[in-house]
Amino acid sequence: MSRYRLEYAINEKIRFLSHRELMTSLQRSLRRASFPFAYSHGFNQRPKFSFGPPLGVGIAGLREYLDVELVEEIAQEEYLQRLQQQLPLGIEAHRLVLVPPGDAGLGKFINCACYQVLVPDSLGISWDKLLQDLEEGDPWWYERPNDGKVFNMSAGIIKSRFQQDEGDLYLEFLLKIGPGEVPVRGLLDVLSSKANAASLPPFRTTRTGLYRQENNCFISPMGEIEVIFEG
Amino acid sequence: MNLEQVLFEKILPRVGRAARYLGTEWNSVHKDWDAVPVRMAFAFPDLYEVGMSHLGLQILYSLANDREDFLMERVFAPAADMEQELRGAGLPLFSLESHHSLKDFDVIGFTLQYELSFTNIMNMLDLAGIPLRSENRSDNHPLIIAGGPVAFNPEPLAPFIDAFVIGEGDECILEILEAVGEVKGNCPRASRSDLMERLVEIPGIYIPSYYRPEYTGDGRIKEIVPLHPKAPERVQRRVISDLDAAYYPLSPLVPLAEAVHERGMLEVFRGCTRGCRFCQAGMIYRPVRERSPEVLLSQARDIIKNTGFEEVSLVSLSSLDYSCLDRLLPPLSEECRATRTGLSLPSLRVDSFSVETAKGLPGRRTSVTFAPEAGTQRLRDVINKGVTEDDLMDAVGAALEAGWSAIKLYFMVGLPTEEREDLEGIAELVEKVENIGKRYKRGRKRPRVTVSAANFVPKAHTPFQWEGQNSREVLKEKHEFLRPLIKKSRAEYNWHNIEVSFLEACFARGDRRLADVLEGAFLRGCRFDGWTEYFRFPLWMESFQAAGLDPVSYAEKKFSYDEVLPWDIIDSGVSRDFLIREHKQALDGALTQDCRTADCGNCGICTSLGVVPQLVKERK
Repeated sequence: MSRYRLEYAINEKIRFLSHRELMTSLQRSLRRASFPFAYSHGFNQRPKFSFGPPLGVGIAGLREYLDVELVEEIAQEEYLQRLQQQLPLGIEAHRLVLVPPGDAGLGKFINCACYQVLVPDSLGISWDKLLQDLEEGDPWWYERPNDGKVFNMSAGIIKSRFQQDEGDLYLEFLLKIGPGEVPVRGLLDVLSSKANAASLPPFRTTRTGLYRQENNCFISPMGEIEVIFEG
Repeated sequence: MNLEQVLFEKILPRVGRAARYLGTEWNSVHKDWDAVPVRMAFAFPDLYEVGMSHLGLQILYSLANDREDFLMERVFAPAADMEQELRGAGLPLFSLESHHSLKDFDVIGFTLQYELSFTNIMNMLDLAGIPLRSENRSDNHPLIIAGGPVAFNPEPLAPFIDAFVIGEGDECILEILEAVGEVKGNCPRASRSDLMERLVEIPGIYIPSYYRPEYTGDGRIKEIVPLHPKAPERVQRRVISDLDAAYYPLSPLVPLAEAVHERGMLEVFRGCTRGCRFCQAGMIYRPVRERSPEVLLSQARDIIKNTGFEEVSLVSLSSLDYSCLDRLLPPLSEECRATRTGLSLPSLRVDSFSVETAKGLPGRRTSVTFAPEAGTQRLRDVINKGVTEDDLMDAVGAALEAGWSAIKLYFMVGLPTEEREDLEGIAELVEKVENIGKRYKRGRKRPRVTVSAANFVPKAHTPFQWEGQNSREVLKEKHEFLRPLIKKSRAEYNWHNIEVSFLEACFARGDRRLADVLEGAFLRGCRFDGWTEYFRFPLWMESFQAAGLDPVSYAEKKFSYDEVLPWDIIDSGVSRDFLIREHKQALDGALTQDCRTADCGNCGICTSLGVVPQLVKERK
């Protein structure tokens, strides 16, 4: 058995897929590309997949990950190309690597995610002040509509900042994944309400990366150490 | 911002299951809009997840798009939240592939699968900014066509549809689009009157505005008067004679949003001549035309390769009647095992052979469905079901033995001649099935038995077309009588909404006057009437009242043999004499054999349509 990790992107056109729909689409793409899946045993045998943390509906993802177990080693470049030809419009496969033995898996490895939220420039809001309030002021509470669960949004944020780039204004958040995780949809709702932006179109949001934070070091699921939230 | 930008930036973030509206499914076709002369939208008047499971869509979509000069895009009924967003933003309903307004197409073709989708058609036209009634449309509007099984009684929709396609759309869709191309020429739009003149020359096309029904003083139809010299006396249905030679999509669309059925479909045959007397499909899709196993196997390989579906299914009206299962299933099962693809049959015939066959197929085994339809042998003979109690018990025993752990049983309530004993017979059958189940306990868990009882709805072009539906009160009494009896045997009892079945009966055999009711119901807010959560019966009753029509007289009406029927303009190929004979046989409880295994029953189809049954393996 060999485990491979795929890095892929979900672009603007397909960001409205649910996690389940995305999983099905990717699985079918891999089937069309003839990946030699390893299957679970038992009554309902399924290919062995493991996905990174779900991406919220409506959010694009620049670097998303999935692990797939195969019955044999494959020529990575060849299979990556095959897969690229079989992906629906809006999903792009970037890299495919063999996962070394002993790897903890995506679920255990990833503990934070970086999000970029494009904000309108017409609000006249001091975003820096708002973010400072979010991180240092009283907790921002959010009640999830579907189950009534209440989150302290401030506690789920590791870092945040306001950026301007070629006329675009955006907020960046480094959010916890796993214990203490807060819903991104909730963060956007709370932000909208704090900015009195209820009548504005929904913020366009992109997850720009998934990482393991160890001390001040950020490691991507592909094993690269990256510098984020600087410059 | 153009429509697509508004959709992605402002609307999709706010609606549920937005993947329904993306249009970027695998195998979807995106053509250069300006480079294609004839553009059609295939409109499915229900949600994406229902429409994407429909084989007809897959066939017509690929068939039209294979032609360079045609473009076909899809549109489904928008869910309530999307409708609200579109209306709120003043945006038109759009096609999925190019996100063009429906109004921009040359042709919009609705598929009519169910009477209770009619208000969705109204809603889709209205959202597109297209006048509901044909008479109010101009050359600036698309041609509105409709086809599918419900088009076999087109009259309630007649004022809204420019032309109906009667019969198999894959036989004539290209002819229709060619005609549109011819008439359109280099103009931005085809002249409507010229187009109608051209379309009426195509066999199988019914143009309702070319006819006027006249009524007697007591509200019955006196005659249907042709108003145009080219209008045929009766419109004969189109039929494909050779399925092996017919077009079949080998790269069908793969849904993005989860659909009701997500599987590759192998159409093993069309038509069914078992002759169940309540079944419209069994009459209007005759004769049986089978595909050869070699063609099916090759199609299966391509579909698995081109879609990545985890399952393929043998679809037809009764796939276990396929004459060549012994030649198809071994290599197909092998192919499926090799590609880790499940192989399924949508429903099983009520006999142990079918169970034996199904248990050998690769894939999961959860529940198995049998449809004895009636509780006593007498009533099963009336409906020509041709199934005995022993058949059912053998099938159930074989299914449980083979590892299925849930049995679903389908029955119909309110069938012609039904008596109390027939209902008691349903309960007795269910109890016997439960008793067999006790022998197959897993630990303390017994196999689950679910009984689903539909209300009989008389359908046009069947031997029961002259029969009326039981009143709502009687149907209610029958379900209330049956439910405790079924519960006693611990089976679960589900029954269809009586008011929904009542409306279905009104429209299944209704006439052109019902169009006012439809329009009224739409204007009052009716949508998705087949969905219990959206169904608003009082609004329908208000609409009947406003139109001055009595729904009871439609649903419960018994027609006499010599009466003009609203759908007489449509010739399914099955003769009226045959239907009368079958109706009389039903009342006598006499069976009619399947012409695949017995002598010809003289239904008239072969002589009138010039086709013959095509069985791969002659079984007589």
